[in-house]
Amino acid sequence: MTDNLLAPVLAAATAAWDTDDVRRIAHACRVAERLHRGQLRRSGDPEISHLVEVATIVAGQGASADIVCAALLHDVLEDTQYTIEELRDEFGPAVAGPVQALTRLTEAEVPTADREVLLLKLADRLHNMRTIAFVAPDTQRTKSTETLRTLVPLARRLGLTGVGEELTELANRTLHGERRTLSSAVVRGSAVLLPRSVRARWLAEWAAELATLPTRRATARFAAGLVIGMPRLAWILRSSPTSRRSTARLGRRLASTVVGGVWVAATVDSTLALAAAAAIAGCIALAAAVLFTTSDEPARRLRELIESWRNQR
Amino acid sequence: MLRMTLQTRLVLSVLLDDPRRERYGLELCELLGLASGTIYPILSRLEQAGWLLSSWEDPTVHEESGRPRRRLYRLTDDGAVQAGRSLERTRKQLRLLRSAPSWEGRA
Repeated sequence: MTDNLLAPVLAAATAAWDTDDVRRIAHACRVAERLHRGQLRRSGDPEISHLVEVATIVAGQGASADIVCAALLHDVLEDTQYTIEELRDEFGPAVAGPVQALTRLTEAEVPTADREVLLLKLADRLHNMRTIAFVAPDTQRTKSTETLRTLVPLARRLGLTGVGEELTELANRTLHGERRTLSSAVVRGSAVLLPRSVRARWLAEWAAELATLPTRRATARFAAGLVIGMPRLAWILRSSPTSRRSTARLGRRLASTVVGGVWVAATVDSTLALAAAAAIAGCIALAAAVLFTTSDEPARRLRELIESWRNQR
Repeated sequence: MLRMTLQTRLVLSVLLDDPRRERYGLELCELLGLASGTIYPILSRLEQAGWLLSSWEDPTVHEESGRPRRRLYRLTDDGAVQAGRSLERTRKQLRLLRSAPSWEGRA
């Protein structure tokens, strides 16, 4: 059972662990699971799932095996009968030290604490922010504000930009929840055209603007404009070199859908179905050619051709 | 290879008016009377070309007013130079147009 639990931690690990490290982490996971058995998070999930998530986050940041063990055990002193002596005996001071420091950490001590302890704190807060929907709205606001004020600058100072950015995004989203209107829904719907890697950024940008528009008509006009301009924006973003891989993947998926559809139509053995499928395939091919063109070369060459032909006359 | 449309030139002229100032998308829509579907493709094209730099608004600015953070755009140094050149070209073309003979008065 522990192996299933640990899979994400091992998958996320960027530091090089040997078999002894992995054995210790598995042991820490078993102990944590046993100690917290029966304890549930607000979401209804067992406490161990939170501990594993925190461990996954620190593992992804290149943490040592000791810190991953500390992540799995970071609540034992607070929420179970386990004592600091038992922790030190079973896992050594390299694990017990950070756990104890984290448990005792006060607001004032944060700037001067050890880097590893701060990493644990940030990872703990990150998972809490990811699942913050399950706590009372007042607590959500307090935690989000505190996150923005203290923890995000801390993450930036430690060089944990990914963590800092996600914390910022989650805290802002909690503090300024998007009003679920028709306008924001249609914008979000048409935004599937955009490459996945930048979709969230553009949606966040437009949500911020939509939040400030005073009238329903202004909101509708803004949203309608975005929807109409979405194909053009998608083309511009997809022709950048960085998004070519995701665009190619999307193109392959489209192609296989088309092939599958035509095959189904052929086996259905109806000329009408085949004609419809061929027409749809033709439209998709045209759209793909427009959306996924990755350079201006063909257009430029065509223009040069026209110029030279015109000059010849 | 930047596609220099009239609307793009309008955006650039506003930005060049105060090159150190950061603008947000909606602001440009309102200043120029252009639709959102026009402005954002222009901004993304300019950003891809390296003429603009975009960033999230400083938390201290928007937190007070209780609204979500905006995405702000600013001309880069290179972008300001390129924009200036391109707008100068436009001005030359406009001068040619203005000095061209009109149809009125022709028999």
